[in-house]
Amino acid sequence: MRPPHQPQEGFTLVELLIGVVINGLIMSAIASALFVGLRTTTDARRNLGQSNGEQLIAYYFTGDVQSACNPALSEPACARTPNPSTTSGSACGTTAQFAMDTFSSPTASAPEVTVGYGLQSGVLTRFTCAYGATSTSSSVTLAEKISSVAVTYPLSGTCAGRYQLVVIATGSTEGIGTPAYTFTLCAERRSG
Amino acid sequence: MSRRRSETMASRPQHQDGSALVMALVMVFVVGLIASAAVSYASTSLSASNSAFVPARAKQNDVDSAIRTAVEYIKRDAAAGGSLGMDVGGGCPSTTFAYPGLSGPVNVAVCPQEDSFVHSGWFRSVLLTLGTDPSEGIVLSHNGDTNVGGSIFSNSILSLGGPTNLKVTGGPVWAWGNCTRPGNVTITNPTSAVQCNASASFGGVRPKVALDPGDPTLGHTADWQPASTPATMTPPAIPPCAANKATLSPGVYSDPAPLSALTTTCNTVTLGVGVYFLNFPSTNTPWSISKTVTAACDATGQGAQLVFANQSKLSLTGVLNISCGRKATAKGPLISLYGLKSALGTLPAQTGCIITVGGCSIIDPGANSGELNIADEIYLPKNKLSGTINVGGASKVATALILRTLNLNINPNICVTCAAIGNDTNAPIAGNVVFTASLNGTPWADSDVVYDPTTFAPTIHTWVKRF
Repeated sequence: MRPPHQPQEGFTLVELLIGVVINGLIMSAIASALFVGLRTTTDARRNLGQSNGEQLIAYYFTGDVQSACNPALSEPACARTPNPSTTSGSACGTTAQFAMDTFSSPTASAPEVTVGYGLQSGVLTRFTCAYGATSTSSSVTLAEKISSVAVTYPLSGTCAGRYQLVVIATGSTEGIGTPAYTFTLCAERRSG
Repeated sequence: MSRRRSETMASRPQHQDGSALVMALVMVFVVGLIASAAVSYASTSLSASNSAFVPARAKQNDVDSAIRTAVEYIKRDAAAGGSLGMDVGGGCPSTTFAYPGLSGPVNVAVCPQEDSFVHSGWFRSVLLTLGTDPSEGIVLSHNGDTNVGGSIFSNSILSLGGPTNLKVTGGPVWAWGNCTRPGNVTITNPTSAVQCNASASFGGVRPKVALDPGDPTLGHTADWQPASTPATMTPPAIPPCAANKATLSPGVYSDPAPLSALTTTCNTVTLGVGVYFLNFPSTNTPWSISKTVTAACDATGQGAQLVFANQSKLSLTGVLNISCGRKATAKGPLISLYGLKSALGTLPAQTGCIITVGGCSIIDPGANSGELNIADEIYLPKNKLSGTINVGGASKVATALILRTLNLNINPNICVTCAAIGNDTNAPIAGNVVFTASLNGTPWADSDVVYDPTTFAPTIHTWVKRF
């Protein structure tokens, strides 16, 4: 008797080739998708960070400038000129890119709180102290990866007659890559 | 061959079919999930950030707009920003202003500060008598009109003999006690009626307007000090009278005799600008003025101040003209005649014509009725002024008259319509109002706004964020 017929297993060469080609296409698509996804996440996070930083800066800077005292008024007294300052200097015992003297009560006869914005190692920080004090009483980080901040008082342009803050966020080559990002805020001192 | 192949394919186990495709699909699915999660994360973060920031910005805009609108509202209705509430001890705010913001209703509390829109500058009352005994108060006895520009407050009675027609513009008239002949009081701009027995109106508690403005509780003590302190107790030399003129120098005068000798013989004696401390030892020997004593103003608008210390007193049958007083602080009132309430270094406090009830008049016009023309203020909070006082030309007794008690016949020589006390015009001084904006009951911002006295143009002095 002949032994029973054993079915032959395995792929033919053609089948294997087709399988390898299909598998390669799929794997490359998956790898590409992963690669794109990871790069997009990095950029999205950086953009999100910039967006949050811009919002925080807008939130604090606008309110601080509104509360700043007016050196043109004889009462309440306001010694800082200009206020906010447009050059870097010392405030609250530390270096500030710009600073301003503000009130914490409406009937005060002199500023009560000094607010400073410091930039160190790309981190923009807002700090406060009692007027005339040489140490900070509070500090909050507003944004990271900032290359420069500057306050001016332009007489023309979008912010004419108001205080203009220009913030430049550093560019990056990570992920897809983004160029340096600049945003501008206008704020008006309420006391004229 | 074909049969063998078909047999081979037919016998291949089914579970191995398409295994690579399934794996690929699983991997694609997993990658899709990761990508979706990342995008979802970014979207959620942005949405959360915006959902926190955008409403906050909207609220800030609403509060900003509400205060701006309230500021304009007060500009158009200065009476709502007046000082009355604060000065008579009323509560604050005096009124509220509602603004329908996009993020919710904003209520702005309007709180006028002391001295806001006060008719006569620092003087909440241009005629104020501090004495509380029923025999004290304001007694006017001119037969005719006595014009006052500004508020009047008596901590006791108001008596109008003569009969006196008391014509008041620009301020209410209060008498803590009774009024005699109240029908002769006319109050215009705004029109009101004299308030006699005002103690009932104020619940028996004296309002700020009834207090000595130098009272420490009012917070203006420094403004109500003498304009300077004596540099030396050595009296200046009395100058000779040359061509009927002489000029006195400021300083401490302890002997009234040489002063009287000069001002009763020399036709015109000028007071050089500065403070004259009168340190006389007895009320029986006052400084007698029967000629003309005049003080002018310097370039800063200040002139002379007579400080009554010890037992100093004036006997005025001549003319005393002081065009400008002096002030102790930059914001303080200009005071021409000052009663020293407490010692100033070695200069003793006033002990002479300080009255409890009765007592002498700090200025004795005598039977000849001296003429008193003081452009600024008379601040003699412990003294009485009585007699008949003439007022020359368009001059006045004083811009403000703060005494313990007053019993006066003010006799205007020429000008019968201008104010003998206070200001002729009704222009108020700068208004000072604090606005507090609350959104849904939570304070968001305060602002202290000062209004120009004539144009009412607002100037924001402070802006305080609460967010």
